[in-house]
Amino acid sequence: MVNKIVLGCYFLLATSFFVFFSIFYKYHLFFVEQLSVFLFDYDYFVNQVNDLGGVCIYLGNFLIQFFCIDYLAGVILLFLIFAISLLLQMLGRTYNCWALLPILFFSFLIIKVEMNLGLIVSILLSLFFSYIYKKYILRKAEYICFLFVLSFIPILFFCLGLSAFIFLFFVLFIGRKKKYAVLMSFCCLVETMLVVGCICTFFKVDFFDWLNCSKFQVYNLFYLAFIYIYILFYLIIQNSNIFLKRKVHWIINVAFPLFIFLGVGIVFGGKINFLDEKLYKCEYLMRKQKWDDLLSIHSDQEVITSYINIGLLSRGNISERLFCYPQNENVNEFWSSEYLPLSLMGELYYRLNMFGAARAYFFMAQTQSLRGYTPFTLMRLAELEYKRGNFKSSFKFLSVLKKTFFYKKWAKSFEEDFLLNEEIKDRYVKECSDLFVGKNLLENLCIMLNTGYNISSNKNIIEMALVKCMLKNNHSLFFDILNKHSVSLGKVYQEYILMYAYMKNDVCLIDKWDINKSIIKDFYEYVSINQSNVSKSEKYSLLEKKYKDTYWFYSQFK
Amino acid sequence: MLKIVSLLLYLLFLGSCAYNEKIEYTIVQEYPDIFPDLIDVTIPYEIAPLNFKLVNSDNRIKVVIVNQQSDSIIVTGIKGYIDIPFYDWSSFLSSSKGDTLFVKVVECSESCNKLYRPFHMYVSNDSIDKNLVYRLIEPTYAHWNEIKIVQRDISSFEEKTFLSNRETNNNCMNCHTFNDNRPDEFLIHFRKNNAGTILVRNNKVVKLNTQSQNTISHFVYPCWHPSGKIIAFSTNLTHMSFFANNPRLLEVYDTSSDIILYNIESNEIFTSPLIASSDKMETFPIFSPLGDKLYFCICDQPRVMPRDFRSIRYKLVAIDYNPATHVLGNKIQYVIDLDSVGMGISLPSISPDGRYILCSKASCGCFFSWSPDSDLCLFDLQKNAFLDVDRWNSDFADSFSAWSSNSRWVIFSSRRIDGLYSYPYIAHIDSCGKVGRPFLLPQKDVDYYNKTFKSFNMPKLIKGAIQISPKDIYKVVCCKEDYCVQFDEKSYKPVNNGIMMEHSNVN
Repeated sequence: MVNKIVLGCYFLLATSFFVFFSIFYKYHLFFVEQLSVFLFDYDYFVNQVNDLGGVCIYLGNFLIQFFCIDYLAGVILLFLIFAISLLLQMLGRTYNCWALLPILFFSFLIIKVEMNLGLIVSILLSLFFSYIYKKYILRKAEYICFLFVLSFIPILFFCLGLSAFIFLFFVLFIGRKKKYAVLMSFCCLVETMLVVGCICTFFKVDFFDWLNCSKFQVYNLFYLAFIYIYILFYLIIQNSNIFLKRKVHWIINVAFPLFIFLGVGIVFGGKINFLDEKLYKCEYLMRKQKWDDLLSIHSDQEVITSYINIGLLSRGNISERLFCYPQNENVNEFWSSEYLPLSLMGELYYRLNMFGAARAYFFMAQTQSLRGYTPFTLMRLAELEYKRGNFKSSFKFLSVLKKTFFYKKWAKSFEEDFLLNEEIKDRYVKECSDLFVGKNLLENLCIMLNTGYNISSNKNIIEMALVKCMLKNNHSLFFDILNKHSVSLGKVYQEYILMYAYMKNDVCLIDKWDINKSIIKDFYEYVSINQSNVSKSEKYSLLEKKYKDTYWFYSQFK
Repeated sequence: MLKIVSLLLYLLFLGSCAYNEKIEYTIVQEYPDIFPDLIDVTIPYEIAPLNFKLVNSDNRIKVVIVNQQSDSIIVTGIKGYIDIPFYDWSSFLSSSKGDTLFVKVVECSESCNKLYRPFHMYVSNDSIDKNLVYRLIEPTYAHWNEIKIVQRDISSFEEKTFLSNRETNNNCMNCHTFNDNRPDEFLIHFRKNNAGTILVRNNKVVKLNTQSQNTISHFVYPCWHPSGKIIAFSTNLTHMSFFANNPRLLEVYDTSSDIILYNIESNEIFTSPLIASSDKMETFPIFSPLGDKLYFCICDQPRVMPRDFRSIRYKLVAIDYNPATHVLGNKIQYVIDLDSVGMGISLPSISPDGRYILCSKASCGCFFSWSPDSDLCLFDLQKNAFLDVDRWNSDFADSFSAWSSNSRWVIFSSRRIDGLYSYPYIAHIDSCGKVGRPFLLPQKDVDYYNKTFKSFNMPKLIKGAIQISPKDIYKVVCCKEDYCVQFDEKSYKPVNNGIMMEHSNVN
């Protein structure tokens, strides 16, 4: 009966974990993959493995690179966490739900965007080796066990860091041989001290720094100690007779899964920053160019709207649907010290073909990323440097991408398609100006518009400039741009012109810009509702019902 | 004579190779295309092995390095890479002081073996300070991630992190400056978190609070007086702007700057209207080795920045200084003025023997590190004339420079490899002022510079390794107590119009 309960709990928890990670949390995990760049490169390997427990960090980063594939992140995390739980079950004498508790602990680790799977992998491997020892080595002759353990300790300490103590503990206190127990314990402890001493001397690390396991990025030593102590106690209790043939065992197994569910729910509910999650979602959709999904998001946050505006630009309907989303005059203008807003600005300038500004923002974004670069910034910088004619630095960024598994193909095709094509080599930006990128997007757009830049290659600059003029209420610049550049007047521009003509009482503007009759009709209806003798709230609801996607509504109620 | 010896050795090499391996060679008239460029460079005899690779080659290569006493090193490598054994190289170089090395490169492929035209390397008799200190930082300094101040033994590949901002709350660290290339007397600024200037004298650490009512910013670019008792600092309102569409990436510029002198013993600062005037910008101070002159860069206060950055052209001037009385002279003398040829001067450094001033020149701007047209220029103070240093310059920014303690070697930053990241080059200048071709600081891994995403900022040669423990510095940095510098009551006090800048983001 107990086994069935445990099995049921596993099934339920696993299903909910998988659904959560694969559906609701996939954007977050995609971003985690961006921050952790895994390279198939000797230097990268040596750099990672050189630290204590670095092998586990390396393996963890290897797994994280697969997070860019939908659903795979959920499968990997599910496997890692539940494998630990299963190994704990297998190392005990009885089956019970206490082995589910580490899932709660590890959910604290996974929730962070700068997460590292090093600790989880190291505990998993330590338990795995303990299981191998229990299953296969313990049956052998005593001297074989003895030699196995002694020869294994240095390797384990180097590879697993602090988690090697779990294996050592299991061997000395649970899976021990009676005959040489004292001698083995003594030898193991002496060897451990020697190994730790040598490691600290050789790697020139402070013992307490090492204890702190900073490479696992578990920031709280108390938390780390709690995980280890829990696992060790679990192994002791499960290998003793404390719970056997007791009624309490039954009760605990029923109550425990509820506690785990509740705990995991509290962790995720309490720790998740929902705005950040929405940002990761926008980033994911922008990177995957799922514009329709991106445009289905609604948020009052400037940064989310900035993503949406890029979606509108890419879809070519910013002049039709701009006010379907909450806008304000500061959208798409960030000067931050955080990776996402900087990379977002870089992407906007990239899509506007403003390569100098894009490069500046991507450089800054790259600096602010966890590892000093992300695949996305490397891709963009490789393109930008190429377009600016700096092929050597473009190659530098490409050479890193060529060492990755998932971006190698892009890098190679970029190199083949572009860098080897002599005609395209001459196509880099030759326009040059002494003007600087400011924080104000509109000013930056005007720089491009006024320096003879070939606008026909990218109408988005004009569209974005007009949008910013509307949002900032800069009438003169708006009409100046319209007069200088031929633009097909979208719905929102016509609404803007109509409103301006109404304010200035200048009917000529309506004829000059050939405003659509249905828009004129709507506007008069809008004005008549505004002038009607109804209460403010009623007026608002009437206007909102029909005109909430118009410039008029935006300018009146922003 | 050299050509004859070179030819003889070349023929000898051909003969020996043919005899030993019975391989036929195709002789190529061109020099091998190698990275880093080592052709005709002048090297110190203490330098680490100059590993290199044959560009665009996946073949096995064989390299023979021969000196004039016919001692040789033979190294073979795969995929075009040459990794010279450390001990063979060290003993070979020590026996080749003042000698010319002939380097022959053979590329062996299945179809043919190419013997490239041999090239020379000159081993100087002049020694070099063995330790190099630099800051590793991302090239756009507007934001930073991990910053490290690193010391490297240039006779080997040993590199140690001296300070990391991971230990000091991810703040910015800059302007590490040593007194007379001594590893036990130096200073470093810490910005943003735990801000202050760390002063190390005789391995004792002090943290200074350099904020003052009469200065426009905290202390910025420093220079030690040879006595070790005075440090000249500039105070700058520094800004950084990115170009919208220009081959340049960014422009770093001042909107105001002054120079002040800090008396370490009295913890007081003093200045003069001639070095801290309100209508001029004064920056990059350097003391003459005798301590009787203070050199600095000066230019007129710009009207609107960054709009007018093209009009910014600094000149190098000097003012007398009396170390005994701490009195500055009453007039400034122009030392280098290139305005007539449309150039400005920046980032000067003076040789410890007092004979040369090495600085950067470019068409405009203040901080030439990002100006592609920035070149080094060497001014002979004895002859009052420029020396030809075209061999040191490239099409990219060649800027920040520092001298070895014997004045025979120069280290400078150059972005010539990829146009983006600055890397350290070492160049020789002999007692007659003849300069050798510079070489890139060697690395064990030839591809190191192609892989790294960090610039080598402010490389400085020092006489020995820094002995003070980083922990002692971290402790003082994170400590809240600091010494507030005071303005000397008798001193002229500059007018700062109430502007005070936390100089943190740039330099």
